[in-house]
Amino acid sequence: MRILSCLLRNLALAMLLALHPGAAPAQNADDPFVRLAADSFSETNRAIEGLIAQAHPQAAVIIEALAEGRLLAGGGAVVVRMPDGRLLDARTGATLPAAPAGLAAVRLNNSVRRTIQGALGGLGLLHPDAGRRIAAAEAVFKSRDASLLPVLEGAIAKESDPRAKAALRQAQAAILIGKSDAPPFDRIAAIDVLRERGDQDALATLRSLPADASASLKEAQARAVSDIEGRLALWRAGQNLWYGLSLGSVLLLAAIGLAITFGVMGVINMAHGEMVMIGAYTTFIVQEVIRTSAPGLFDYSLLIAVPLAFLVAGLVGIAIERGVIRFLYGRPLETLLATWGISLILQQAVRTAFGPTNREVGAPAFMSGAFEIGEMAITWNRLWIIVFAILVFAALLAILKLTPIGLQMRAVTQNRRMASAMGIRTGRVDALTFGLGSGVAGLAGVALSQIDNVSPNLGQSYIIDSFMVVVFGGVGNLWGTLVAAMTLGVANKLLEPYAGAVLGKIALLVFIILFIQKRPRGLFALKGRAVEA
Amino acid sequence: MGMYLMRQIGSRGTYGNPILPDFMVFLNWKELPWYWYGFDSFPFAMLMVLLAPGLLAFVFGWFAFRSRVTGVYLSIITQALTYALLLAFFRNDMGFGGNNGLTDFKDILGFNVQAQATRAALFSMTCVMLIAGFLIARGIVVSKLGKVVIAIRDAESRTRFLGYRVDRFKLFVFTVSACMAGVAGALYVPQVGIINPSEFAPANSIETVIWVAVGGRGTLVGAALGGVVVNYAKTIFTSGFMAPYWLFALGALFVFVTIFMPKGILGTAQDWWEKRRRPVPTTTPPEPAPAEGRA
Amino acid sequence: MIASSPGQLTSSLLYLDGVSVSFDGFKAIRGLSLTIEPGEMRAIIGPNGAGKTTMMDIITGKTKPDVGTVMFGGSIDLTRLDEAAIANLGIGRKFQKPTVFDFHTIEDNILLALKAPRTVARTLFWKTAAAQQKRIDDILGIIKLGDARERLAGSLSHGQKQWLEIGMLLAQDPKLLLVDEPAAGMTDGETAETAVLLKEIARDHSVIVVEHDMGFIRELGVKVTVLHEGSVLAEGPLDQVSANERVVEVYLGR
Repeated sequence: MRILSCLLRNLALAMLLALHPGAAPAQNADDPFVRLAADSFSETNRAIEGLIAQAHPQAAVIIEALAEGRLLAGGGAVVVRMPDGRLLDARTGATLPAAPAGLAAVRLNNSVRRTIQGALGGLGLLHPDAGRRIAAAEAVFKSRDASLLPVLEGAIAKESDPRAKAALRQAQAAILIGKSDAPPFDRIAAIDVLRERGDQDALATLRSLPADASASLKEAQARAVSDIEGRLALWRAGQNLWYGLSLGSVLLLAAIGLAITFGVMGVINMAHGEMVMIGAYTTFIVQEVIRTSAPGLFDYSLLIAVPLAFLVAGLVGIAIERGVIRFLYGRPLETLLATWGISLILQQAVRTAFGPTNREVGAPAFMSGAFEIGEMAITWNRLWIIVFAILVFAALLAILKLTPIGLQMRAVTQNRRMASAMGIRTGRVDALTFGLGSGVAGLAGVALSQIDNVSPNLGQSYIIDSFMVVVFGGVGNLWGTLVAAMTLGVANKLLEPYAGAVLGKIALLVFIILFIQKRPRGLFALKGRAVEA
Repeated sequence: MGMYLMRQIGSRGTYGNPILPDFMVFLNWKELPWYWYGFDSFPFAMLMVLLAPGLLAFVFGWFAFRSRVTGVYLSIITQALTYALLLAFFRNDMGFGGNNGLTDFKDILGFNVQAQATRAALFSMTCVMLIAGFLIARGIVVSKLGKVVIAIRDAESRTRFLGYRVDRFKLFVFTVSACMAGVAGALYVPQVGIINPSEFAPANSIETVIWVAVGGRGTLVGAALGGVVVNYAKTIFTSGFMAPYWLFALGALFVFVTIFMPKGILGTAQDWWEKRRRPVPTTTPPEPAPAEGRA
Repeated sequence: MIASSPGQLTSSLLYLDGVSVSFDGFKAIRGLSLTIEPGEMRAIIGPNGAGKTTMMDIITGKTKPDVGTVMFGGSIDLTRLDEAAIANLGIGRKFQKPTVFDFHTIEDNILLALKAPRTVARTLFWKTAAAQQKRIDDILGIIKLGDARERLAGSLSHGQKQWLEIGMLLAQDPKLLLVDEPAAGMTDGETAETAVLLKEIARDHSVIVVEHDMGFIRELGVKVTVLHEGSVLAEGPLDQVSANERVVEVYLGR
């Protein structure tokens, strides 16, 4: 520690001489402690710099105390109140028996805070722990505090950890960029270092190159900036693509049940959104039960909720089909009205039972948090929802294509009378098909409970989007629904940065409206006499 | 209409700006957007009441009918359109007051909108307009054009093969009904005192369809009757202890009417009357094809 | 196959050459060529799926051919026009399944079909003139529905609907009538009367009749075209056609 402070002192002295060649030796007015007691932000700033410059043995304690509002001054005395309540004389570090009169905390403003941050960085650059050194280097990178340059150079010289060394170099580079009197060669090298770093911060630092820099420097900077911008744009596009896929998977989940009830059966189910809502509330109830009776199972709550939500929403769906919709086949407008009525009833029922406000659905451990790939942040819950959407899609496809009930469903929807003549109980198949579509909506509810507010209005916000997806994809075509959901999701997110969220959405709606004019039967539609009849 | 009324507030608004409505002052707008010009004149505002929805319907319908979007698809894309408009009007920079909409009206043609007499006048005006609208609709229905439109409803492609441009007939009816809806909106605003984008919600257009369904589809009187009956029920239900159950009742009404009274009050009454008069019915015509969703 | 010389192109009323259309890979019409002369009545027969209805769809603009020429009156390209435009050119069509306006009276059905301007404005302010009313009455007489004029068309029997539809065709006064299975679902007596009516019409109109009923075709006594798998298999008088071995093979059964 002695060697360290010795070193610091030497470095700081050298720096002091470099910065203020004609500076007189410390006089009373230059004494940092006098400055601290002066109750002036600019004096405080200079006091901090002075403490660092002197490599004062108490510097770390004092600056930390200052940052936390524990540095007191008054009547010429400067006192540190330690977190345990002891009072130390700032200059000597000796414990004081009693507080001198008239003490007040040294005040902070943003300028002082910045200085503190830079100073703490300077102190941390030499910390024995490599992690702390990296953190300190990052801090310097952001503060670009030129006074720390000598400290940095010393630290780089003796740094052995490659990651820490890179961080220190970047910090050095950040300072050099803004330092007009540094050797041009060093500054060009600094630009290279920043280009390699290549993130948003590096870009901002590069842009801070003073306007009076030399032409060659400016050229190097411009090249580095465009380099980084290109890279960042790529990452941003990647991130938007990811958001798009995530939104697409949500749309897919919400719409795929509708692709069955509307697409396959031709029933306009305006209560579809409410099936999603029921799924979400089922998740909520499952979590409540687990919270009160078996908190240990919380991480499995979603796994338990998935089959339950499917069953609950599916059963409600079957009840609706048997109770109402089956009387209305072939009368689409009536079906629309009746299911709209049902959706009102379901919403109001949930509102009565659970209240109109949002309900909290927790995220199990495996769905919380995020990880980063390059410049992209990927949250676990979004990733799992994409996986879940794909699983649901595959399962549904398999049911329709591979199982006997799937075959019956397709038969009934294509030619009801014929299917009935062949001994298929069409009523039962209708109910099951509708139940399946509703159950899948329930599954969507489980997923949506993780990323959206669980409220009685949950379903309404998805119903129009869902219809758009199904219509866009082509009615009666599950693959079309998949492609449409992903296309709309990605298009929405790619439009957002340019048009804003609302305008982007409007643009998409208008696009779909125009698209339906051109291809009234969606992306993947059958052509021929039968469909025109 | 709301725009006209906003302009009539003049300098009595909270911010006292003689030209800009309050919300624009609030949003720091320097001048009136171009589409607000002229709305301080009552006749111009009235003209726009007809033209704006009419034009919107015309453009939309022209696209939709030309490419033969029908039935379910038409309902869905009209809903998508209103949804897009809803989102657009919620934006403050559209210049229609965003979320809050237009409100705090003071007077209409110099009369205080709150005054009892003005309200009575507006109400009578509404009745007059209802009768006028009814007569116009009646005129259309009994004309040969009305027959063509019914023919289109029942056998669209047959009508086409007779040489009628189905899209133009649909467009005409669609636009006329939009203009009438515009008049309805203009009468609604001063009487309710506020208009905001949530009126665009798809729920509202669907509710209008249920009025028609309750009253009896295919008849003009039915539509008016349904509107009055449903809204009277709404008034009873939403005031007092029944309030939380209104949505249950409305929902149940949707279901009940569609299943048990597909012809609405009027149609059911007619059937009942004819059955009494003629116990043995002659061959009854088949169920009408459901009218295309004009929701 | 029909040899199509340029001379025919100008004189024929309807001229189809090399027309093909497919639905999702299935070729409903392949290389169909056909000409109808002004004033001619032609019967078209063929087994189910031979492309008879699709051919009518193409002529009336409901379906657009993938390739091929469809000319009307020697110079008008029908593939560029929509149904309404084609109808207004003077091509009338009666559907396989009788399609009348069930919720209109019989008289209104005829009125709607009556040759008159079809624009929105003209229909909105329509007044039926005396001459037009007389024409309606005449047609009602021809199709023997004069007494039932106030009845809803939906209440008619199947055969009466067929006749009403023919009456609507007459009201349209087209140059070319496409009549799809006019005798379907009729009693023998009605079938005979329908044949008489059609022959009557054919005096001053060109007519294409699609029919399954051989007796009916024989009664019409006109040139017959046999369609098979979307193209013309044989053409000529009924006796000659029905003697054709391939026709017997594909159509008359084996």
